[in-house]
Amino acid sequence: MKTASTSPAERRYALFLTMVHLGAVATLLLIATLAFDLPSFVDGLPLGMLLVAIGVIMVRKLRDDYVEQLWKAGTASAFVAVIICFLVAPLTYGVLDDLIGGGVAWREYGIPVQLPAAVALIGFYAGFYWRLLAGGQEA
Amino acid sequence: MKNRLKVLRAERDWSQADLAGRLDVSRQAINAIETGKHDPSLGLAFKIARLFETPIETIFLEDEA
Repeated sequence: MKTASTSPAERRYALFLTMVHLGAVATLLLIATLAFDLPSFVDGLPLGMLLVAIGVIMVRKLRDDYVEQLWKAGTASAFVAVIICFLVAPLTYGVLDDLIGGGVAWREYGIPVQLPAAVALIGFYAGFYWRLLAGGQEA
Repeated sequence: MKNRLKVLRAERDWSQADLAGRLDVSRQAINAIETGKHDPSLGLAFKIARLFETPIETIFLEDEA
């Protein structure tokens, strides 16, 4: 039977992970509001959850050595995701469009203003959870 | 990177939670180090070495190429 007391480091870890999970749920809800074109007042809840979660997980004191590595994995993935979506993809699209034709410029597509944030968040959680669940060493 | 953390911990009859408490890290961090999922930072490695009163090189073993 486990003892009731937990160390401060354990409590920090538990708080951090809880906030990460909360942010992940909020991200999924936010994507759902985008995908199903729900009214803007509906995305207030996940946005609020996300702000709270991100505000907490950005507190450096909560991150011990191991959690810092998880954080870095997430932020690196977020960076890559944003670069791929907003630099590589439009460039590739432009090249293909020139080759194949079609005539619709990338900028003419109605890209939601929340998309960059959604891409960054998805990238962050993908990297974070991959590192948490699969482990693995840094390159 | 391989390490002898589990062995050193067992010699002192410490649980992972005990060791984590002494290093002010989470138990999950200790578990991740022992299972090779995570290499500790230099600061934490020095802290571990000081705690066990053992040189770092005898705790953390470089992987052979």
